[in-house]
Formats: sequence, structure tokens, C-alpha cells
Amino acid sequence: MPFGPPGPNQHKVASANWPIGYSFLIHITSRTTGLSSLWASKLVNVIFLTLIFLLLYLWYNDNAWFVALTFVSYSSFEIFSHTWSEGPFLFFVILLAYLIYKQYDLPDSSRNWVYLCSCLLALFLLRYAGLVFLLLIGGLAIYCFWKKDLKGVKQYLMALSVATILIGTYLIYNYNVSGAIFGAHNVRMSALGQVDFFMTYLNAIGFARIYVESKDIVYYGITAFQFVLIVLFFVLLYHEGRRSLSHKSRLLLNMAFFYLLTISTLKLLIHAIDFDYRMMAPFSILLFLGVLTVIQKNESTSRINWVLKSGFIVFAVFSIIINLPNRYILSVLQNLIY
Amino acid sequence: MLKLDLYKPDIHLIKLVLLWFVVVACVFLRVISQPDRYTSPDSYAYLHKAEKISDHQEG
Repeated sequence: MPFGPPGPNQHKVASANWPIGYSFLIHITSRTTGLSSLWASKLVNVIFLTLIFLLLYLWYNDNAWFVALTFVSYSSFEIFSHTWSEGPFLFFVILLAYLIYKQYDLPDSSRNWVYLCSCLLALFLLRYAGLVFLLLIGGLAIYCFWKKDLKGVKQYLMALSVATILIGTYLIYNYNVSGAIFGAHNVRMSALGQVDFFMTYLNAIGFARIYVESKDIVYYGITAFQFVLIVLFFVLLYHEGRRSLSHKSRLLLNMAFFYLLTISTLKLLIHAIDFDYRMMAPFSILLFLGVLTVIQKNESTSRINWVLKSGFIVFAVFSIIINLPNRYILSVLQNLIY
Repeated sequence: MLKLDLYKPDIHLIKLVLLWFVVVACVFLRVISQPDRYTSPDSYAYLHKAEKISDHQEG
């Protein structure tokens, strides 16, 4: 039964504000390890971070370490440090991208729709925002129909139909138990205020640091560094043209912008969702993965690619350093020395 | 496919594992350095729900 956050009569009232998935994972981990709920939640995050790294190794082989530098971004550190469902959600977002990619590779595999359907269900059970990926699968079915790929149409439609029936059943149950399909009666007022779309987008593309924090020399330095890398990236795209964008990178970038578009539209229509770097994390992570996929080539085809790759590695090291709790580490070291 | 050969260490895999250690260490240090920040009200809602599931099962 989906229970909600503490409130009046909390022991009696079940709420549907959050789907059951993440809390259930914490519960299972806590039960099996004997850890408190808080530490079990951190362990769940580390398990899913590990699964993401394994998935990247499966997908990218030798270049996985470079693409995995995505996870030294500010958004990633925040998400995996907090008790937030975005960590496991990100794993399933990347898994969905992998499964869609495999659908091109192995279109004859009859089990693809089962994996796709399971992934859609997992996304929904972790966050209601996972519902947007049903639209993506529907869109892919239409695209395959347009391309006369009937096998693809069949796989996507089967996954979409079964996932829709199961998710619909869950939502009806939610309504019967709590009186609200998505727990809309308990919307936080902060989510209803004015939203600075520009700032949210800026924070989403800011790799090393959130852009609403204190504006010091580090902030300006890291912003300038990222700006130079972005300019170099566009120079690379201009020089190499379409051949620099592989199937993989196109898929990741398309998924990133699809998520950005649907979440922004939802925010305009519904208002009742938070709209910050946390909500934008699937966009940020898919965008960074897509960009790093473009520049991850083993044999650099151009000098710009080599400069960009080396520059990004240095930038990632900076990101790690500024995102570490440096004061805490210094105080621990001082205590050890004196 | 995953290629694990202990006699021929794969330098790329070693880099990936080292990166994993760095990310996990950073996350761990962030959590223990700011426990108040990383058990925010949002976090509490999930933890509360997880504990409710436990209570529900035991009840």
C-alpha cells in the first residue's frame, strides 16, 4: 500500500504522492542488511550507481570510463547523496536508452518488448515522471510505422499496451486507497510558485556546479572552462559534420531533449511539479552521456577531438575537487595531524 | 559482453572501477559531512514510507 509523508492522521491516511518503488527498495535493503532506513537508502543509491557503471561497461566497453565521467557532475553527486528516487530512476532511463538501441541492433529478438515493458514499469514505480517515457515508446512505434519497420511497431506497441494496462491498474488502486490518483491533494506550495525556466535550464546544463550558489572566483572560473569546452564541442560538430554523431549519441541526445520538452510542457500545464535541477537530472545525465559519446572515440579523428577529450578530463577532475566537502576533509586531516 | 580476465588486467576496466570508487567516496564524504542536508524533508518522506511498509508488514 502506498503511504505518504507525515501529516495529520498519518497512521490512517494512505497517500499516493510518491509511487511505491523507491520506498520498497529501501525497505527490502533495510530488512536484508539490518541497516537503518537512512543508510539503507544510501546503499540503494550506491547499488544503482554500480549498476549504471556496469551497464555503461556493457554498452561502451573500453570507452565506458570516459562516458562514466558524467557521474562526477554536481547533479549526480547531489542525487546519489540525497535520499532521492532519481538515482535508481537514472539507471532505468539509461537502461531504456540501451534497450531502444538494442532494438535497432537485434530487431528480431522476440523478448525485446518484455524488457521494454519491465523498464517502463520500473520507471513509473520509481517516479510518476516515468510516465513521459510511455509517450516516447508511442512515438517510436509511430516512427517505426512511418519507416515501415513492422517488427519495431509490434515490439513497441506490445510493450506500451502491457505497461499501460499495468500502470492504469496501479493508478486505479491508488485512487481507491487514497482518493487521489497522484496524491495531488498534497502538492507543496513551493512547487506552485513562479518558476525561472532560464535558471533551471542553466542549472541543468551546468556540469560542475549549480548556478544559484555563491558567485565566487571558482564559479566564474568553472563557468568559463565549461563555456570553452562547449565552444570546442560545436567547433568539432562543425568540422566533422554528421559523421561525428553516431547512432548512440543521437539516441541519447534525442531522449534528453524529449524529456526536456515533455517536462517543461507538463510544468506549464500542471504547475504541480517541482522544476529544478533534480527534476531535470534525466535531461542533464542523458545530455552529458550523449555529448561524451560524441567525443569518446578511441582513435581521435581530429586534433580538436583530442583537445576536447583531454580538456574534459581536466574539467572532470576540477568538478570532483570542488564538489568534495573540502572543509570537512581539512578538519579531519587537522584532527589526525594534531 | 563483459570481459573479465584476471591474468590480463584491462586498463579501461581498471579506470572505470577507480572512477566508481572516486564517485562513491565523494558521495560518502558528502553524506557524513552534512548529515542534516542529506536527510532533508523530501528524504524523510521516502524513509517514512519505507518504515510504514515495514510496520504494515509486521502488523
